[in-house]
Amino acid sequence: MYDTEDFLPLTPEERESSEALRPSRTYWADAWSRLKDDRAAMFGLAVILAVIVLAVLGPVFSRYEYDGMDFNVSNDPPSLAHWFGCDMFGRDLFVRVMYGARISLAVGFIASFISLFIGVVYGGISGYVGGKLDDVMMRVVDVIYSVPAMIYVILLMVVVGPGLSSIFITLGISYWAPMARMVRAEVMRLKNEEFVTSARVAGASSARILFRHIIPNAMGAVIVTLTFSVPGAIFTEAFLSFVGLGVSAPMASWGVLSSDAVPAMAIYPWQLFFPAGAISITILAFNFLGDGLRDALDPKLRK
Amino acid sequence: MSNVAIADEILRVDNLHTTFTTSAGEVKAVEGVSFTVRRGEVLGIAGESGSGKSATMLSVMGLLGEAGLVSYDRLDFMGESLTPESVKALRGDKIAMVFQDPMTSLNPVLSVGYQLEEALRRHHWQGNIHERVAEMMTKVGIVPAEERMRQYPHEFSGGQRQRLMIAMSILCNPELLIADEPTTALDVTVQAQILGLLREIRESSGMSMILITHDLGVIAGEADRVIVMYGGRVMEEGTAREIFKSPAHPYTRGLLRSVPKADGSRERLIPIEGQPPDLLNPPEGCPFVKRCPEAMRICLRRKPEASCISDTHKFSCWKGAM
Amino acid sequence: MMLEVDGLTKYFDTPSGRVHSVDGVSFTVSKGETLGLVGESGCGKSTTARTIIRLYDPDGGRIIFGGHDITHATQRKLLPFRRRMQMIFQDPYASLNPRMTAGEIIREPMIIHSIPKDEHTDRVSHLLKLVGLNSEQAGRYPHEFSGGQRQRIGIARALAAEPEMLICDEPISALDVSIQAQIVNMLEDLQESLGLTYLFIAHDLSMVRHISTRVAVMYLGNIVELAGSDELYTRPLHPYTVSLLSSVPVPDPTAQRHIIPLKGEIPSAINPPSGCKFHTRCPKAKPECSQLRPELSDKGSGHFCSCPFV
Repeated sequence: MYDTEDFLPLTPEERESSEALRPSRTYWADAWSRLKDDRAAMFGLAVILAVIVLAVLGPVFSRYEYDGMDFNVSNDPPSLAHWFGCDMFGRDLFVRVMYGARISLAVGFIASFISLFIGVVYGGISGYVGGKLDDVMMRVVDVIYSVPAMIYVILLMVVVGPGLSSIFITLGISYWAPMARMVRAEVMRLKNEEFVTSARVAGASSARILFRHIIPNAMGAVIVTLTFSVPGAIFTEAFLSFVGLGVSAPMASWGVLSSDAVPAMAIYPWQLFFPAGAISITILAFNFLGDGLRDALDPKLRK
Repeated sequence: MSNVAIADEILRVDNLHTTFTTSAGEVKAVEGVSFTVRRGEVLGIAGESGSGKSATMLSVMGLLGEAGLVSYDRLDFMGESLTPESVKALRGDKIAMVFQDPMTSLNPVLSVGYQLEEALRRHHWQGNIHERVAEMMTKVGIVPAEERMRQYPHEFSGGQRQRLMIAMSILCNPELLIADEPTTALDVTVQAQILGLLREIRESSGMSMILITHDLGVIAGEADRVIVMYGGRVMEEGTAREIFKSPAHPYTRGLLRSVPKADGSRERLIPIEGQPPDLLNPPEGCPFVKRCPEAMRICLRRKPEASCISDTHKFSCWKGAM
Repeated sequence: MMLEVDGLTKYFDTPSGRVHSVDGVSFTVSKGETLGLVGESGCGKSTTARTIIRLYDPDGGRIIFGGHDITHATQRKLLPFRRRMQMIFQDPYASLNPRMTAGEIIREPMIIHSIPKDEHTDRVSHLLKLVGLNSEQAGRYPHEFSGGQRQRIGIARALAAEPEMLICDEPISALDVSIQAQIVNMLEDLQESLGLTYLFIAHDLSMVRHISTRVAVMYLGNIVELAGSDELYTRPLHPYTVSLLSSVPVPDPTAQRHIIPLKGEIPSAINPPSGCKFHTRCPKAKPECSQLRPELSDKGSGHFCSCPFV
């Protein structure tokens, strides 16, 4: 039934050959492979990439200019020539929505990065130093939290005046509080981790501990928070433009486009439908991606 | 130690398989595990992390939920075949469980008295519920019971919480107690107290027990019969004496060699070389082959069958087939 | 003398009161020996170790390492001592930075202690071999290793700056039984080849006996007994040590064991019992035990015990 050969002891070579090593994967490669399995997140990512590509390249390749008026086609419904129809000045809505995407995405990303920068520095210091300083810094955050962010945004916009760059700044300095809180919590958690203790025992400086040990491990949570804050900024910009505090004509953000469409909403509904739809789909896509990233980057789910 | 001679079966498990599907692939946590527990005996299940010892019991108790795919040829409790519905009714009633971390089994916002009474009510206890709870709390040494029943889980120490869990588990006079690493989180002096308490309860009630632990010392002190698991399979099965005095499987032998001698001699320890099995990528043959000092060619390719040494002593190794 | 600890005290202020984690602990560790420190959770053994390596600032007493008083040295002044005294941690999953490769983890102490850069790569592969790993594994991340392998990486990191003393804080308790012996053997080999001194903290009493030259038993922030390893295990004097040793399960079903049970559990370190802190659980307690303040005293040939009635 069995060969006598079968019962020979294993040679060191045979033992080695049974040693199958799994390929090395970094944390990020690992997270990516988990994200790839998440359909909603991949859908979100695809939508976001499509919106970015359309925003960057769309207006370049379009036959129409975003501010090119043609009164022959005023308020035309969607057609083969004008996919999203035209507005009251006969401007092509498709190119204007794509152009609006530039503004809306730029606001979303730049405002988020400003709040990211402030939040990471503020929360990082507060969490790492701790003690009295942390108490004071967090009370400041509590105060900021206690007043609705929209109030500062509106006040600041009134003071700074409307315009694209003031929107970046206003949103950035109004929305860093959640980021700061999150970063502080992460830093507080991480600084008590055993690998940070190990770095202290090795004699590492505070800067080394912060930049080599704490921040790289907080990046996952920061990215997730960032993903959720981009749609927040896009939405706030849309709201500001909608109430007339945003960018001004002929520039077009999604908020401006929606706002312009409201008076004639009952007659030309597509003028509202397309920009509002772009806002909704983009925000939804970011939320899908954020949820997926949270699961993919969560260290607790890692085995 | 309990009497092994009375040989009626409380639990019988034949050819149990449990598979988990993870994002990284399939994990065969339990592969073809069979065992029986007789009335009044203590069955020890020894194994390291990833050996499948806990997954085995969770599968039997139907506690794996959606995560695990469980199959078996036979699963009988006191002569009757267990179904997912019947096991649910028996849990906490005729089959009780005690886990490593009692805090996860206690609700922090309810008083312990309420939680114990609730457990009795769930199983339609006939008789005075309050008195029964007080009686069991006194039995496990939580006194004065009337007063302590009004307290909340955080007001108890780790050892006392484990006593509470034991009180809760024996409320309905179970036939079988499954204790999964019941003393792993406790200090040795408290461990001795808890093991002593479990022994007293067994002696007075005749209940059977499955004791799952990685601690060979605890198994040696408590178990009548022992199952040694590795990589989801049973490596060796026998009475405590057979396992500890004449171990047959290279894994069991290696395990016993790797702990310091009780006499305190400073002889160099003899470790089991290599790393624990990669559950996602198990060897085709015996799970222990990579670390086995006696491995043969066939061990790489084919899983060994169990060979009998005596009526009670079996081991799964190609050495036994030779 | 490698390390002298004299009257070391460390407390923590918590909302419910002051926790006296370490309450006047004194011992010495000579060069090349292994001092075992055992006790149940909450006895202060880990805090003692972490105060000695100055992760905490001591609240009293003195720490003298290699002849230098480092009790109140600033972090900058400590740097040269950090090179000479290193630590191995309990949890090999938590003590390695998950975003750094094994090589980066081992190299870090060399960067901190300004070891010439051109030596780093050679040293990393040498250290990996020393702990039984191969140098190709330097590029892998901690999660790609098993628990035992991670503990090896932790040990290689601790050895990277060529220390004289290692504080081993429960280095094997998170590992599987079959892996523990690998690590213990390796620590013994390293001690012999590198002339290391160990402070070995563990709650596994049989492993401590195996690896230690001398053993100190702690209870609620105090050392209650300290003796040569075999002496302590064969002739324990303090009632706590006696009870502790009797409770250790042995892997032999035929062993005759006489467990001397202790009442209750370790009391809170916020309001420790008066007098001898053990009197509330001591099987041999006398009325005066709640009054007297026991001191460690030599009961003959270096066997120290704090109980005056033995």
